[in-house]
Amino acid sequence: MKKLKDTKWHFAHGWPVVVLVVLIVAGLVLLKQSNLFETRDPINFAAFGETAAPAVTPNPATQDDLDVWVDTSPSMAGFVKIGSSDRVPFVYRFLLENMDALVKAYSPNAVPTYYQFDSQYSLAGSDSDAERANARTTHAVAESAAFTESSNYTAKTDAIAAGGSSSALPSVLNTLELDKPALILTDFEADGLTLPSKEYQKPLSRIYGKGLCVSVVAMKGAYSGILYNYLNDGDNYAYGTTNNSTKQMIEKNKYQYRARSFYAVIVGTGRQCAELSAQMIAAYNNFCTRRIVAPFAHLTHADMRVEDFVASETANYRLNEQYAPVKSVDGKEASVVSASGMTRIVEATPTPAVDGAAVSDTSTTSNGIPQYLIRKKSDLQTATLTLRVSPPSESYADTYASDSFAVEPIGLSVIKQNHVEAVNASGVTPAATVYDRPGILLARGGRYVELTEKEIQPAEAGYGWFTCPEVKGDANGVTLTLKVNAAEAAAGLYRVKLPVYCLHDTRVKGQGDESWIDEWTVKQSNLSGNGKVQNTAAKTANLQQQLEQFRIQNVKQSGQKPVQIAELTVCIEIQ
Amino acid sequence: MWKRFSGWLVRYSPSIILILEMTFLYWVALALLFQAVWPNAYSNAEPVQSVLTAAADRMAERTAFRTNLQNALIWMGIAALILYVIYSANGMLHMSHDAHVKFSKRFRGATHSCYFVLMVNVCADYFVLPWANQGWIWLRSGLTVLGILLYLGFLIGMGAGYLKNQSTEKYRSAYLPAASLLFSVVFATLMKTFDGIGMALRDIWQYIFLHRTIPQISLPNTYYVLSQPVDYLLPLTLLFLWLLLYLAMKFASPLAANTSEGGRIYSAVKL
Repeated sequence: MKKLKDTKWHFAHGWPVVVLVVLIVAGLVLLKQSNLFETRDPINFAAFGETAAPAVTPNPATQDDLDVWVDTSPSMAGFVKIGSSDRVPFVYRFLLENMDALVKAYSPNAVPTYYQFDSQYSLAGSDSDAERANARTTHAVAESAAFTESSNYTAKTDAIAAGGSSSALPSVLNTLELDKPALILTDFEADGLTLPSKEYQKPLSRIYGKGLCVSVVAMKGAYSGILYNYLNDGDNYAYGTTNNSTKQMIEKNKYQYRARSFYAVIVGTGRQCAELSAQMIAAYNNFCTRRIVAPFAHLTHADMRVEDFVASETANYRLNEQYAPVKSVDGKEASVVSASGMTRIVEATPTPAVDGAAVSDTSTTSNGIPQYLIRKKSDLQTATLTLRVSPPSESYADTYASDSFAVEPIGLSVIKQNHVEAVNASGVTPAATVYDRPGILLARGGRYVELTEKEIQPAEAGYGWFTCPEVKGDANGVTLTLKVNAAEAAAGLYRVKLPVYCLHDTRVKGQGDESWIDEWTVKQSNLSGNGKVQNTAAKTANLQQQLEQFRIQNVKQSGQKPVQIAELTVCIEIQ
Repeated sequence: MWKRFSGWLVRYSPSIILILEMTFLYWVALALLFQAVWPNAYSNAEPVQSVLTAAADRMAERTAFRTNLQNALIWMGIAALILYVIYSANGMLHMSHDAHVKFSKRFRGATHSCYFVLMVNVCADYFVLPWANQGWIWLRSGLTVLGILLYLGFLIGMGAGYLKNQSTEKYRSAYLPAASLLFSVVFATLMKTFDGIGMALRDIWQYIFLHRTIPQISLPNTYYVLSQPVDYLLPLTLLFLWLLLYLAMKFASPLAANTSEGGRIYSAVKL
């Protein structure tokens, strides 16, 4: 038996400790090497079965298109130049890459059309629809993949270096088709931007004048790039970059990938703005919360606790929540609630009206328009039609009014005359489906005639037998009463249009809490390079100004001119 | 009685101390992992294919995964301890020196192979390699087959050696109890592991020749993707355990008593 000192006891008892230490060291190294902002890698389950959802074939009839305008100014390249789109801070890139899916979530049949613009884009002053269409053709981009390569972003140009007056965003707003919703991705930092407020007036008046709505969703993502000609002072600033100097390489977490805001400007009807905003926010929040692998409490990123970082990223601001310029009117809401002295001869099939647009317009045929019959029974008869518009009320003291109406006599001409043989043979009247539709008049002898509309020029007569007193309603809607003095009325078919206007309350409240703008703007500490840090103002050049423009124009548009939100149309036949 | 017990305690105290030390170290490792590293690195990690949307559900899922993994690691530690105790007990077979050396080395090899198979399967039950899920199937099946074959190889080699050498004088001492222990283990293992080998080979066969999808299609949500370097610390903990088992067998071995380099401290096991 050996003595203890001759044995390998130190191996026996030492090695486990050594192994534990090795494990701890390995753990520390692995922890250090890990990017805890990085999500799990996507697993390819392609070999194990179908994971892709069956493709939805777009139905042209129900297709809900969307224009996506992407700012490709040099400053925007800082959002996409970073490689992976699978990390929390790189949400901008993720949103770009998944725009198709995002749009699909908004509407399954939506087909996005992509456009790009840069800070040199200028079309703010044009009134020509042809120029707008031409510009859209010119700026269309085949696929969204082009936006995720930083090489596809415009480089710094001489115009930027010289300091300019970019009107890119007003130009885009002016170029929009407005028949379909548009989503503009921008950082509001059109390089070399000195933006006179008047540039915004025409585009925004055009948008608000159509009863559309502007919504802004503010988000934050990692940025690593140059801000060219920042504040139009001719100097460029590195933002969120390291310049690869040794010192900053060491401190790279401090400077690299610093969070910076970008914005989705959504233009559309109230419903479209609300849905697209919600979709955008949902995608953004989902991305941010689900990609975080880091603990919230301790780790930092860009000098900020992760929790704060995410919280600031997920903040959002929607302009249309408080400044909804249009209360959407569903076509179904405008309805005839009572009719005395009239017979309804055509049932109004509710036409699904586009929000904010007229319930019906001149191009609408008699299909879907309620038609009433007045039989002249005595000289003193007055028929009354009461209609009601009840838009969903979301906000404050908007008033609805109708102060005028238009009467168009409609001539009917016989285009076809049919003889229903069955009636003669058996005495049975034809089935209701045969005649109970617009333009069909039954005649004696089992015949019916099919009529078509023909516009006739209004006579000089003022159709004084129609009267509709001016009414005002509150947020709950407006009730219009159309009276027909049947005694004086001339026989014929008349189409009566009653426009309903919405007068927005111009006492627009202040934004309330605008401190977020300060929080979301570029601070001096974020900028480095060229030694110009000291000269830099601590505010983003345009954000507040531009939002103010949206607001002012909205108020102006709402205050000066009532927005037509609906037009009720009825046809009245007087025998 | 007490005298016999105290003598036993004294003789085995080095092994007992080492076992206690290793248990403590493993406890420290687990405590570090689950108390310090986990809240910082894994607490918000997503299991594979999580379809849960509510944050509370996802949190519950993560907590469940943590509990499951912690239990698995503890049970693997207990398994290692049991394997070590069984291994240590071979000193009681009263074999001759050379026979004991051969027997112990093969038994140690078999034990490590066995533990390796356990380890691979625990990993396969909890982790998914991000770079290739298909590769993981290869790895899992291949390593399982390899481990089981090694295990059987050690056991069968041991048995064959005994049958061959039973007539030799120096191996003769008490070969019978050793051989019966051996063959009962071999038999039980064969019965149990043919099933495992068959399944692993079936997976490989189906994958190569039938181009079939492997039943991993129904991955539960509690699988964990090893995407970050720090994630590999979780399976590494099993390797740590394996290493502890190896060290215990190496340094606190009944073999040490029978070899020239064996020291007093571990010479408690009598020939």
